[in-house]
Amino acid sequence: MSSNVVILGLPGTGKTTFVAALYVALNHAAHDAVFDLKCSPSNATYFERIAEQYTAFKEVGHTPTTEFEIGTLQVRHRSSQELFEIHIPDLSGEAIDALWTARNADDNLFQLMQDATVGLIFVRPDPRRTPTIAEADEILNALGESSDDIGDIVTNKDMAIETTISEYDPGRASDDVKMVEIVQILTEEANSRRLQLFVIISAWDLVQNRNADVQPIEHLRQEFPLFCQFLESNPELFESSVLGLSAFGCDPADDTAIDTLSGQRPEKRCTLIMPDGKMTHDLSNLLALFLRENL
Amino acid sequence: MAASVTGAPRCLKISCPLSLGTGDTCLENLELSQCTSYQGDAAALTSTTPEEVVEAPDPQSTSEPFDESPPTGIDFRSGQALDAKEARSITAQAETRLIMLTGAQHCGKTTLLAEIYEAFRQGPINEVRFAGSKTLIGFELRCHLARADSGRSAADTSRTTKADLRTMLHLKLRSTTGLDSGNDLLLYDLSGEAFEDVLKSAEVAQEVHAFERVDQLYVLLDGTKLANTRTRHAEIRKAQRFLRRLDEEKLLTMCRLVYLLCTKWDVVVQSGASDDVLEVLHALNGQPVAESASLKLHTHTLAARPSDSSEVPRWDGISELIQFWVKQQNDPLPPIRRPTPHSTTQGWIRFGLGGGFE
Repeated sequence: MSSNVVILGLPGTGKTTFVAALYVALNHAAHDAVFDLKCSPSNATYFERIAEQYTAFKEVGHTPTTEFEIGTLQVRHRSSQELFEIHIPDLSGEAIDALWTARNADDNLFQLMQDATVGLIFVRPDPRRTPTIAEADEILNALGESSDDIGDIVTNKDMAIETTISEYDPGRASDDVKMVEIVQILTEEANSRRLQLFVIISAWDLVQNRNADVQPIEHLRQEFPLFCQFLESNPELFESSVLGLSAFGCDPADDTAIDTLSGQRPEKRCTLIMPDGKMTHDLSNLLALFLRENL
Repeated sequence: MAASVTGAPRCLKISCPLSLGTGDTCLENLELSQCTSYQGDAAALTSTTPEEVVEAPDPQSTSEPFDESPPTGIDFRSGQALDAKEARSITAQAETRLIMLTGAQHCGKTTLLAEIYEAFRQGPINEVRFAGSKTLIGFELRCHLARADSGRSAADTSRTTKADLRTMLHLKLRSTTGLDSGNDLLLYDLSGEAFEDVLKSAEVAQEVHAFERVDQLYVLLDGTKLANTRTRHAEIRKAQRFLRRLDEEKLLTMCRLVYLLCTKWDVVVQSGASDDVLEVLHALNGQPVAESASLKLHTHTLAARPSDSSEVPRWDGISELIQFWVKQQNDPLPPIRRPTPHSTTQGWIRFGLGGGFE
């Protein structure tokens, strides 16, 4: 039995880190893991490279636009011994962003979207926004800044001020709008199949540090209001669930946190918040969600 | 000299009619040979097909090199507003209603469309959810000049001209109750210039084929003009003449509802003329669209993007409009009753609900 997964997400949303963490979790499955790897992939070069970076607490490499990796994992459901083949592609975020900016997909991505039965949709916890002039004024006023000549406010990481009048640049659209379009295109190309979509909010530890009680769906509703409405309004096109994932385990720049985590087994580093709010360190639980009908 | 293969003509400006193949001139009204925004040599593009080989630019050239590689892969829909032909891709897939917004120049048509989109970007509107749009780029373009990214310090909206063939925005809405199957709407932005032309010429009116397909027609009245007694009646009469023209030309055959929408309600309130304007609108409510027409007029007030200092909240009146668009799917014959009598304090919020918003 096989499952075609397409992993979509804008640049820097943790797609490759996820693939690395999943490979490590399956390859060194703990005794209580739901799935394990039945055998090593026939071509494991890519998986081994990113797994090595992951276990060494190095930031897992950015996937170049020109590179296209697709790995096939043969996994076994521990309790039923049922075998599954999962095709996992790792695409660059830039190639996915181009669905919105250039209105174009390369042949590989297009084929993946056409064949997909499962979509893993990665979003960052603090998305890029496009505030109106009035909203930007409010932010600046709150910060005690002048509101004249506002050029650009980027709220996810830093704030920059430009003074030139700019033409519309689709690349600078909010993540919220881009994700609507990316999933719309995916569903349009999915040949009328009803997809299973798992929206995964990466770097979930950042969200939990701010609010330990918040659930992934609540966070999505707040940070991606348009995307969330879209997901909730199209049950005919797809079934969607929202999860939180801390794949790396901590802030990659936080040496103290890394020292603490390094004492643990790598496959236990990640934290996954399931759609029902339960927390697990077994990333293979995600596979159980999209393979559940076959178990 | 190396040779490269050119791809389909692409313009640096996303809404260029030349690049989109919807016009003979670019955004600056320049012909292809004069336009400098195309990627590559414009003269070469006019004389070559996508498969033809052209000379690459001089490698010693100091100008910014263009990407010479041929476009590969699959192109998707542009995401921009739709022309009549493209709109068929929507109407062929789902039951779709055509809602036309029109009115004189600067009355706020495009701003209303932009602010409806901005309101959904904040969350559901009064139990109605955004369920998709094939024209997200079109909405984004209309919002751009009101966003900080534009570099402006005051909000503005780009004007729709009659040369724009891409006049329709798609919006799919769904009630949060999930009882409906979704409402596909095509929102037709008929430019102020086209509105004036229809007033002047029956022939022009006949050329706007969309009139015959319109389900709901919204004629926008500029609140700034209604607030001023010297311009108030001219503004209303212009709308009435427009409707009479459509009625005389028998162009409203499919239309089930006609609204006069008073925009910029914040300006009216600020001017102190709100009671007078409400009285005028009240008198129009329930009147026939034209002398012989069976369709009745309805009225409503809106403040899509009030000024920061206004007491009228942003998007005032929009939620009722949106709810109405969704409800109508299940309610093909809108109930008509007299408007709720307005109070001096809340009248501007309640007035206008009589036409079917209840």
